[in-house]
Amino acid sequence: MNCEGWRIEIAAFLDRSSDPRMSSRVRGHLETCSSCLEFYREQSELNALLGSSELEADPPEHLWYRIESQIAQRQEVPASRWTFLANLWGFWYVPRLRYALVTCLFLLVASWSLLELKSRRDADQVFLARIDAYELKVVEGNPFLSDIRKSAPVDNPFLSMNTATSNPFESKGSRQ
Amino acid sequence: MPSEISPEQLKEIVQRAQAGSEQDFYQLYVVFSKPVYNFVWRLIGSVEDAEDLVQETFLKVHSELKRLRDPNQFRFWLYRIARNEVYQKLRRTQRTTEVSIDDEDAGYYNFLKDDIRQPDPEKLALSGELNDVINRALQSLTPKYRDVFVLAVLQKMSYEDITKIVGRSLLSVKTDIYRARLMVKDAISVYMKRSRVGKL
Repeated sequence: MNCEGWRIEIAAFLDRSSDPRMSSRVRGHLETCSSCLEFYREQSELNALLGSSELEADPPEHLWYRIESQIAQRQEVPASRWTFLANLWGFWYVPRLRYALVTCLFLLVASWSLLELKSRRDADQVFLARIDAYELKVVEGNPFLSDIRKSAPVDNPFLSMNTATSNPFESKGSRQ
Repeated sequence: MPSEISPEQLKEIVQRAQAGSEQDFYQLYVVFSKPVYNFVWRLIGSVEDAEDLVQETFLKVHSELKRLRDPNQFRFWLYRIARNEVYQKLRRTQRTTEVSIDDEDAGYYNFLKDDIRQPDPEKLALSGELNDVINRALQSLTPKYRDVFVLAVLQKMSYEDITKIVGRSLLSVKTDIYRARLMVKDAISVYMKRSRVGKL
């Protein structure tokens, strides 16, 4: 052991935290090493200076009354919803519960996003179907367009209008 | 541990306090308020803050005591709460390492023991000056060194007990106390030299 190692043990010896075997080894080293002996003397002096009971302070007498009144106040206040929330917040400091909570939140957000996406797609399809129905109604209510539709090979009235051989704005009489 | 009470007695008092006895909680305050107050005061360096933190510590002890599983661990648990309160305060205020001398001067004479306060003005001046010197030296340490030094040298706690409070290994505690001792010795060497000359 070098001198620094010995001094760590000397400090423990001075603080009465050495086991008996180490204490006798420390005493033996102090007899042979003058620099460690000097360290021992300085630190003993420091112990004597700081170990004086005159340096200890008594807590002020009013401190207990402050504590007592605080305890009484806390016991009077009924548990409110904020106390309940504060207790819940305590769960955040339990690591496993924290990870579980974060995972649950992630799954919740992800499933909500998927459902929202699906419902929007359904709504779009309903909207398109309504437009189709409306267009069909318009075509059927118009004699010109309904004629065209009858002659059209496909269901789409606009497509049939484009591909129709007859002019929809031309009257039957004029054609003859 | 304060000498007036044996570990068995302490265990019984803690158990009764856990069962809701306010009288026994007061007993715990009587036994531990002084060492905890001195511990907190040396860590924080201000009398006013020490009062508030000791109050918070005992309020927390009162509300959490039922959750303490082993009554034999009460002392370490109490010091851990006090230490956490100090660290929280230091974090909140982001206090610099310089000690406020004005705070010390304002509060120091009010809490000295009565027998020190009255008879010997010279002695009073010397211990007041020494307290300033010690507090300045302690505030120059990082909290990691400060708490182990205060517990070992000022509170005379064994290294084994200190490991239970600070939650570090025995080797780490030993090394930190040694380094803190060197720093404090350097910081108060002028005072030590003067007191040596005074003795001669």
